[in-house]
Amino acid sequence: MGLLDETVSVPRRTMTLFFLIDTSGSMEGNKIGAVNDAVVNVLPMLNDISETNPDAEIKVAALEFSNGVNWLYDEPKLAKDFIWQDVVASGLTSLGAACSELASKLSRSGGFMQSASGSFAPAIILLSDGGPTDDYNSGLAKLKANNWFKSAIKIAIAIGDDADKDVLKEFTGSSEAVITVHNIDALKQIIRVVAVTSSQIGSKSSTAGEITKQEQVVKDIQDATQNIDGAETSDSTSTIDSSQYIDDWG
Amino acid sequence: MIESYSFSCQGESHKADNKPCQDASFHAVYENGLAIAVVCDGHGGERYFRSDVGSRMATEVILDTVRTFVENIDKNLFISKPFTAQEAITSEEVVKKQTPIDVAFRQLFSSIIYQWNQKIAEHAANTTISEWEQQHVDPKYINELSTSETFEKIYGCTLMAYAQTSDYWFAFHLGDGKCISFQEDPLWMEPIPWDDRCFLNKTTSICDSGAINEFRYCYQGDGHFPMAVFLGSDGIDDSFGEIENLVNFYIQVIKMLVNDGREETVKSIEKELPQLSAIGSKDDMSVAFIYNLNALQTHIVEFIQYQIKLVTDKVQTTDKRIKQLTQKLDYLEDAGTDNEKDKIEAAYARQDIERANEERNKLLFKHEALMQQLSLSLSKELHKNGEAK
Repeated sequence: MGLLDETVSVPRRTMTLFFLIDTSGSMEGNKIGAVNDAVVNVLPMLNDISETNPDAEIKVAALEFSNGVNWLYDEPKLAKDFIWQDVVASGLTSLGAACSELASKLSRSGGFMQSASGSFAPAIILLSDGGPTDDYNSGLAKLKANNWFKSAIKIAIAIGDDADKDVLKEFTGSSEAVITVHNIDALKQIIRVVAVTSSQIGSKSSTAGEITKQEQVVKDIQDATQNIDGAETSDSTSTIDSSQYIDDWG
Repeated sequence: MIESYSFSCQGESHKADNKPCQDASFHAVYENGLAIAVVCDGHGGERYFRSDVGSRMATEVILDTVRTFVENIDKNLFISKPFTAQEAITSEEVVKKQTPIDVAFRQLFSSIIYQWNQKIAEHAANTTISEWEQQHVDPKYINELSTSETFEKIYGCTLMAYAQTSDYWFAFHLGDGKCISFQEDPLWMEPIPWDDRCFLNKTTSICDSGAINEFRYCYQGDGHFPMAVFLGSDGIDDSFGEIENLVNFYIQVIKMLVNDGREETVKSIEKELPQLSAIGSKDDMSVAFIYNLNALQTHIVEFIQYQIKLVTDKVQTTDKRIKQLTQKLDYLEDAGTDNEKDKIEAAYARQDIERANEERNKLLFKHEALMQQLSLSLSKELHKNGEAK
């Protein structure tokens, strides 16, 4: 008999990547089309990261919010199993309800999370092109009191100049973690960069040096953003002047 | 007969980074009956570049201070006291309501912090920057050693200890990792209260400014002693996820001690903990434990029965899931819609049923193996009882 024989379970550690997608009416057309296209294309990349990563497997969960909120599936799926169902845009922007719903799932009891031992902090990507139309403050307050959320990697993608960047900054905790995109190509590229970078860093056992995973993800995304035409960050050292970009969603 | 053991090994991720093992552990049983086990886990991260030294020194200090505590304290303070556990202190009001035992523990913890600070200050003053430190550590952290008033962060670690005398036992903990005790009822528990501030990669630490209030502890002096107490650094519990898996692993250790003896068990731990790090948390691994072999031998059947119950419960949970998934699939197939979402949900349900059945088969295999172990243990017990008659 060995200590690690057939009666002992050593499960793989898990990191869950959450997509929070604004599917309000203003996203209709090319914006929502680009989101659907980009997420479909990034899922195989997430699977590659998960399969080749000895530290953890990656699961994916997606929540769409407009007049209400809706999880694409009732539990996180392995990246290789996640079949993307195109989301459709219409209605308002219930970001507050989305925050409350996310807070309820960032827990073990009735939520999506497992024991903190054996888990990595989740990565959360919020995409929005407007401002909340509900009471987002109470939803965000619930989320901010959640230990999983406090530890999570949080990145927001502001789709166009109409996105309420102050709200997105509040969500992520820093303006550096908010990336603004001004055209379809930039939106697709940034979704890929943010999802891949968050998953790569978030599912590793350790970070390089003293900086947190959040800081490392933000730094890598900012570096990548400099090479994407139509995307910008709030990094004060960035050479890109946001005034150079005009929204082009044609 | 009370015995003890401890082992620490370098984590898989530390091998890749050429970092030393930052854990330290210790165990001993002394002639006066004091048995002690200690695990300290030095923090990872570049700033804590001498945490391997910090954890080693914390282990030494705990040993010294606990021995002094046991030699000097009036044992009547503990006698007849039932199991009592104290959480970390978050309010000064709690300090005001302390019992004499709480005051004694607070003095012990204060001594640990004080002596640890003295030791690391001495080390910092007398140890030049090594070649490894020059190559691997950001100069801003190296400078903290001479300029910062908070240089103790560089040596930061968690700590956990269990001690028992012939009259009473106690355990204390600051930071993460897990302490599991085994006794008759309940068969296992975490005797030291958890601190919710220890979550994912965040932990309380001896290098915190309010470390004295972050100690949690427990004690008992009414004649009841655990059969075994295991202390494990977070590298171990992170490898198992759910705590039941960790407990199951320690039961494996207990079974091996009883069936194969100490020597084989030690060999197996020292061979398999590095493997566990490679397939699990990748972190440094430390375990220290105190055990009463006679008590474990007497109760070995209960340990196997517990494992069987654990597997049986999992089979039942899996069966429930298969039933729910089958109902969902039947519903979707009966509806026969062309809806794309329903088709995807049906495909998921089929896939999940298949996986659940695979899981169920593995569990049944485990169940069979455990039933054989139970049968063997019961036969041994019958044989032993027969011989005794």
